[in-house]
Amino acid sequence: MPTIVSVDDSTVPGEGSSRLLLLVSSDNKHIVVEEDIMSRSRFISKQVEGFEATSQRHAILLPFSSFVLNKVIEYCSHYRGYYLLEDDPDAAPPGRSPVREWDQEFLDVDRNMLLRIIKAAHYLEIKSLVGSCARAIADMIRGKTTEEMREILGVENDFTPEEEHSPSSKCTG
Amino acid sequence: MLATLPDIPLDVFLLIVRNLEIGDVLALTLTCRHLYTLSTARSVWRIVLDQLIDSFIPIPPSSALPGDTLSAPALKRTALHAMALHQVWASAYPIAKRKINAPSSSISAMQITGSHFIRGHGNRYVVSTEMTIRTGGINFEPRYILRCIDFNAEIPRVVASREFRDHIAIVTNDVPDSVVAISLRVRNALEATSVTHTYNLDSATGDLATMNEFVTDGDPLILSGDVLVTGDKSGNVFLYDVRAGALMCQLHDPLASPVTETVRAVLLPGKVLTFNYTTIKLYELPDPLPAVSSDDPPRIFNPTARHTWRWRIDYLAVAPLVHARAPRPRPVINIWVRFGSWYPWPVNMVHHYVLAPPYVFPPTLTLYTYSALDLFATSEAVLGPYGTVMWTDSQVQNDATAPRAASQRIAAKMLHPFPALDAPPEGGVEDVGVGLGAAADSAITGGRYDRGTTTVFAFMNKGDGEVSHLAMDEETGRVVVSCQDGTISLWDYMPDSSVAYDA
Repeated sequence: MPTIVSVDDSTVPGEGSSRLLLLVSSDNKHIVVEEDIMSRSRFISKQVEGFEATSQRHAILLPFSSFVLNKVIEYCSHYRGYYLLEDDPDAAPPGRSPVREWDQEFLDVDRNMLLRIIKAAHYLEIKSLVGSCARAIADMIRGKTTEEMREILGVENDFTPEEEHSPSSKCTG
Repeated sequence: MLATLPDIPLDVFLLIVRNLEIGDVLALTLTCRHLYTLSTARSVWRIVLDQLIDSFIPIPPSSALPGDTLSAPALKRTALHAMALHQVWASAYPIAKRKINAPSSSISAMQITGSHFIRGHGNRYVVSTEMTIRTGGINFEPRYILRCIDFNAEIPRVVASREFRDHIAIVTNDVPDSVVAISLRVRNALEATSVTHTYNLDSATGDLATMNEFVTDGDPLILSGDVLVTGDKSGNVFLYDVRAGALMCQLHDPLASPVTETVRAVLLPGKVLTFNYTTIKLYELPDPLPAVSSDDPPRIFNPTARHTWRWRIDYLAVAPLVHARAPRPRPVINIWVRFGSWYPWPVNMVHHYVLAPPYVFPPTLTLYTYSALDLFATSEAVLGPYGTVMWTDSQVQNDATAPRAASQRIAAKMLHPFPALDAPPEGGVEDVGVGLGAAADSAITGGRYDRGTTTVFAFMNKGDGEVSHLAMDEETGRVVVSCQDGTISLWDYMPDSSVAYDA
């Protein structure tokens, strides 16, 4: 059951221009964040539109931990106010993800964390972050063999030995 | 709980695929069942194919068009087939699947003056032009022959031929499966007139049917769709509508010297670039081209820009870089040049320039490489729309002591992707060996000396006759080699199936 929390606009510290959002992570941490930081997320933006329609502001429950959520907020804070092509719903989707130095450093985390960030970014519909994560994953496995990829990605080989030895027959299936 | 890649949704998987090469995608899909299942989505192979297209890797036309109707396995096979061909074609020493000779002409003392692939029409026909002297009676009677050869027949055979008393020159259509497949110019030297004959080619039989005949100026340079571009000896260029058999417009340079034969031309929407042995000229034309009209005389256009090379050119090959599956109106133009010298022979060096949109002169030098030529050796270069340049020289790779005179090399380079224009040279500085056999692809530097690999298609023994003409078709991985002894052979590099691709 989503907890309904009323967030009063007057609680915004300092300037009153940006309103606050209350995000609740899966480990039940309450995180208050300025709305325009999170406007990069299509998911959050749609929620906010919903609030506007009903003039009721709720907490937004998210299905991932505060650890991951804080990482996503860090990303969104860094690009606050920046235009990124991939996040423009009207722009044509780019082919390869652009290389952003800051993102590469930001995503220099272990594979498990990277996969959690990409899932969170996908849930929140932050296309630029999903793209940067996809590039980071691609960079990890580029030029590697299937066996090396399994190790890097933590994937278990669940093919039967017969399937394993006839990759071409699987291809045409 | 640990997150694993297999939980990811398809659209995230597609984003990862976008950032990988085809070999990585294949390896990734074989890691586990879930990713394998994801890879059965059409969009995965559609992305892979788009990447091949972006990299100017030709998609073999024999595979069905990767349109929206193809299934995922079919798209995958198409991508793998393209890669299998690319792997052979761009290797250091491509191995031909087969080398077959055209049937020799019954007429002796024949000389091949040109050979061309017919694009489309089943990708099986090659047309050649030949000259022969009939010795009968007291007169020498030169004969000029056009032959159409079907190389896909069990034994290659001549399916159509035409014979002329006057000199002929032909161009084949750039656009596959065009109605007008061949444009042939017959020049009557006595009457100083030229007539162009256009031919339609029957895809099933290879038979040629004359479409029309009309008076033209100059020699044929390009046939692209319905537009024929010709150039005369004084630098004038003419654009004809081959269906109407009429002149659309003329390109004239008031500053041109009286003898400046145009040898190459590039036709783009709203632009024509012409190349002679000293100068490149850019003409801006209306797009679409002015229609043929009986009321108004054809318009004359003057060049809007010129570039004169520092040295006279011995030969050059020019082609816009265009992928047939993703044509662009403003492509990069590859220019492959062998400069002449003060002596009556050219320099032992070949240069690659690019002219990128918006086509501001001068062109940019991207690389140059050593290419020795014997005195009086014939040299020829052809450049394809996917950036393959193929040329002949007298170079003997890896062996400075071998007698060069006995051999001729057919070499090639993939000009795409060409080295970034401002990238530092790779491989460091090394002295250029003085020996003529200095390995062409060793990392010698001094600017942009020869980065990338030189592909050697063959070393020819001159005893078998020197190569006089080359033609190639990058989409089907075929080369036609015409020798001075009158033989024409087709070398086929197309792998039989996608299984040949080694990820």
